[in-house]
Amino acid sequence: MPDDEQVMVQVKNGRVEMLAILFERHHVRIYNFFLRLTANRPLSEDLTQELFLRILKYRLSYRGESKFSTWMYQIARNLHIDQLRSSHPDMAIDDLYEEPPCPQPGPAQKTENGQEADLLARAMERLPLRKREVLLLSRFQNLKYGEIAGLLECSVENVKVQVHRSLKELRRHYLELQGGTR
Amino acid sequence: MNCQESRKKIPDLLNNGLTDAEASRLREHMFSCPSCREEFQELNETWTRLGILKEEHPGPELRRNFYRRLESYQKKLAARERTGWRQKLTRFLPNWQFSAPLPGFTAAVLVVGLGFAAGFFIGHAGKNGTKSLTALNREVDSLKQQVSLSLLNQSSASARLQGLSMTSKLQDPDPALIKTLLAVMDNDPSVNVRLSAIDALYLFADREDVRSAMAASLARQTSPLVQIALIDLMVSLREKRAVTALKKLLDDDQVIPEVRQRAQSGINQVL
Repeated sequence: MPDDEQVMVQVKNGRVEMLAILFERHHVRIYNFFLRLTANRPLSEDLTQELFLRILKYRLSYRGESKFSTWMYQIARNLHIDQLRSSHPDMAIDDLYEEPPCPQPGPAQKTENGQEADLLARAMERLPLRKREVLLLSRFQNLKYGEIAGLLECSVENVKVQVHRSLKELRRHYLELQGGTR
Repeated sequence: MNCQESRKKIPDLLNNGLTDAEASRLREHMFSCPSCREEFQELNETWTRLGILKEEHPGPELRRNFYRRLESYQKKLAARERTGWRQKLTRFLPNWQFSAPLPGFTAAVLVVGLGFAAGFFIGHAGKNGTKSLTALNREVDSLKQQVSLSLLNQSSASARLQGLSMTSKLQDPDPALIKTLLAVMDNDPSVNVRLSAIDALYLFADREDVRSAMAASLARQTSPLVQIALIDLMVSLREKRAVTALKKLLDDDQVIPEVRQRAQSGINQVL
């Protein structure tokens, strides 16, 4: 089975139908990345679709020596930033990433995995975007800290500090939502 | 290793980013430092708990729309390539006529015919496509399980750790894989691997057989680190079947005082 990089090189060289392989391999994970960032299912589907179209559009800029997933998440981040810009035209992106999100009126995402998972999903939604993103990339998208540092344009040490802080803050929100029972 | 270094390395331990030797040094430090151990336990608990957030699947429209847009892109690309060739040839042969306008009726018949043909082909491709995609997904999941199993049976501890980390991506592990995970938790020669097996099994702790096997394993473990990890897990699951093993640990003189203390507190919390 060819790896992602080999497939992407073929897409770059004009065999665009090969993008279907990358779509099948990654679309669910990418959809979940957007879903946890936006807490909005229709928007996450749109962003996922747009991501693969951007891969087509920018296929010639793919450099074979770089890891496909890192390149793909770079595009995914840019897409999400574009979406934030259009939905909050009067706010700076850095502010949107650092500020705690507005409290949701109820559970924005009802998961199918029971109360514990619902509480955890809501605790995740309380994290500022910057912290949520670093957890998503390291815990769910299986990116190494070095890859995340490349994406976020910061040092590996900084990524580790962010993971540490994000986990602590997530735990605090989770326990608060649980009603301080533990 | 001091506390500052230890805390810097905890995120690496969570992400399987340490060598065996580094992980052992960190665990040794945590074993003798209650403050770092508590810090790790808190972070590890949250990190592991995130595993209960299962992947959601997008609606079928996403796939349909993607293939429609891909097909449209392919057509545009092919048209552009044809135009490119035509322009190049026109440059060399400026007087050649490449296309003549079709009479209206012929054009209309062709458009209708092409519509039917396209519908027929797309319909067939769609059915076969869906079938083959389902088969492909099944194949990929089965492949992942086979790779995990194969890695778990390797002699290198880091390969076995890699196999354990792969299991977190599986939605529905088959019984053979669960059996291997339980065997790794029970018998693996490396303490780090046994601890990671416990973390991996936490994700499948909703299964009756897994919880029961973990409770039974507690009585067989000899490493204090593994004993503590299992006690913590049994407590977080409120697993009453672990009480027998916990009492056995309490009565065993060979067991170190920290573990016995943890067992006592575990019994109080579970009951």
